[in-house]
Amino acid sequence: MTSSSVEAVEARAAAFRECFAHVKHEIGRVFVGQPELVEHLLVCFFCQGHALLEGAPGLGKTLLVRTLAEAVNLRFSRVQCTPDLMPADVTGTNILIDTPAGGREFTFERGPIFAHIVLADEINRATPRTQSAFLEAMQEGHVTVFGATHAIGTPFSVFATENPIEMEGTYPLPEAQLDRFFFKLAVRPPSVDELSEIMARTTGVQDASVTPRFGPEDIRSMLGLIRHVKIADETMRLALRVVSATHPDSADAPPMVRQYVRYGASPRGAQAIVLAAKTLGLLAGRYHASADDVRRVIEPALNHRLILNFHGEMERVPRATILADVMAHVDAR
Amino acid sequence: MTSTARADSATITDALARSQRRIVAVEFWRGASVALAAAIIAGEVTIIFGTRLLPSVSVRWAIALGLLAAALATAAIRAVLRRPTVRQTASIVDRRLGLADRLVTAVQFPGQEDPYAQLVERDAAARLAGFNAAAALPIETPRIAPAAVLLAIAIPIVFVLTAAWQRRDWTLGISALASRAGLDIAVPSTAGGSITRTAAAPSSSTGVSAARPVPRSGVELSPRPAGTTDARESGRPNTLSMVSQDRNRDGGSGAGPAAASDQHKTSNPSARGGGVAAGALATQLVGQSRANGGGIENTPAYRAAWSRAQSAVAPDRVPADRRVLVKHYFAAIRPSEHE
Repeated sequence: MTSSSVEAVEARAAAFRECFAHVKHEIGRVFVGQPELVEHLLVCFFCQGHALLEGAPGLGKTLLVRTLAEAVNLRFSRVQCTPDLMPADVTGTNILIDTPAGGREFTFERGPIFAHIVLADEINRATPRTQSAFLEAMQEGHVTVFGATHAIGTPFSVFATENPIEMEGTYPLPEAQLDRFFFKLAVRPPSVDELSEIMARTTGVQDASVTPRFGPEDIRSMLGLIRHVKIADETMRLALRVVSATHPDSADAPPMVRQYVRYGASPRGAQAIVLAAKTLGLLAGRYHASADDVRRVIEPALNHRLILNFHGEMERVPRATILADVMAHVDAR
Repeated sequence: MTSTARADSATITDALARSQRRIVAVEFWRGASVALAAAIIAGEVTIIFGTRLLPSVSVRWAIALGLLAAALATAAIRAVLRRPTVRQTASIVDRRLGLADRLVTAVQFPGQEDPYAQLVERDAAARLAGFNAAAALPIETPRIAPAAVLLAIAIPIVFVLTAAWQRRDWTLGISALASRAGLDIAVPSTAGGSITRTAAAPSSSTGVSAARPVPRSGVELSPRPAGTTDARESGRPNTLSMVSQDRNRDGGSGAGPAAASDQHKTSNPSARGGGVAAGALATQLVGQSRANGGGIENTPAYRAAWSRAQSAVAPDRVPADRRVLVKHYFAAIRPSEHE
């Protein structure tokens, strides 16, 4: 490599930071407040992960994801999950069509999963069978219908939403599927000031619109950048020790984990932490991830990967509290 | 690798080498400050309170100095053994300077052709511009060290105050301390108008000091009557030395205060009234009488001194562990039977 390569990397990194800032700014024009939520969502997207957004109805989850797609000019699709939603409704299916030659043939009609950004609204209302249809697409990046595999392509991210209030008639996501989400992000209710801003934007005559820039090709060229970012062994071990400490059987586990956690985070959790930390490092103008970057993404990366035991569920112990205890324990050692 | 990359790498290597040396120095100071304070305390205790176990002042000093040397050696060995690796040094400097793991990452990916690694090195080197290891890694004294230093200062002060309180004369406290330390210092008297000189007795086998008052009045008191042996020579508590000590305690008798070995003190404030000094005078007269062939016991001066000594010592409240010394005292001032 020569210095020109260094300059090329710097140029790509600058473009990435510009793209990130642009998308964040555009989202900010439509979605009011919660900058950390927006940042985590974008980190998840640029790491090509999938996010589970949890929040009460009407908090702007769908708006947030749609705005993201619009800001980077990506193909967006939305699936409103209901109990009668079938896997084929998600993945697509073969249909019999008439050919121009006068014959008939089966052609694969792509489902909504074939998009750059997919919003699976209220995913816990879909049946496990349909939920599992998302699994292969999320994990493998392709779907298989009637023995034929169809690649989805990049960029591809599934953003699923969950309503934590209405639990009747829902099918909670199994742990295996939860683990496939890169981040789980909580959408909190807006403050009074944020509500005031929302009212000003949505009840007036002016409609907030998004200016799209960049495109799938630009995004694709940026995606590889993150994986080249360096991470020192010490920083990596911090993430691994945190993941290890979430297991109640681990020697590193703090008392709270032993008391309330049934299963800890999987290696996918560590992967999510490291990738997200690299992204934050790159965004900070560095070419390496730091320990602080790791700390910043512990909670969104691990909170859905902690499976609480009976006591934890009964006492409604917040996973954030457990993770904070884990972090304090790991930092102290 | 470009020249810029090489320069970045050299900058980082140099900064880390300086930091490594600095960390060793900081560790040495940290260990030495605690170890030295502990050694000073132990040395003080040995010198001041170790008189029964180690009667010889020189031995006590040797032990105290040995403790100091051992403390320094221990601190040095500890600092060398705890010398951090380059990675550890990088991690420490990262934390101290808030470099967000730049150095430790640069150390892990050194001088590679990978442009990302070069950028990491460049970033780290840029942050190290004007790096000052002394400022980044300041020498910090452990929290316990000031307390230890205060304790080290307090021990002799408490000893001096205690000794001075028992004798109602602060100069006696200083003299007692100097005596235990085997130091030869002159302390102006506050009570007797004389200068107390503590004789350095580094080879004393008993720890009994030969404190001698230097009277300002010009009256020279004989430190040791002819025919008697000094405690330092005999190896046993010398009654005459004890008499001399008691005489020195008597600030009101004109003999002047003097440092006395607390090993044989009676701790009796009431003995300050003059009787003890009178007893000392009696002892001196006895000694002179023995030297001159006897006969002085019948003189009025001797009888007067004897009676004053008896009357003064009679109300003494002598601690149980010191009564044997009083017995020695009376044995010393008692005329020999054949005389």
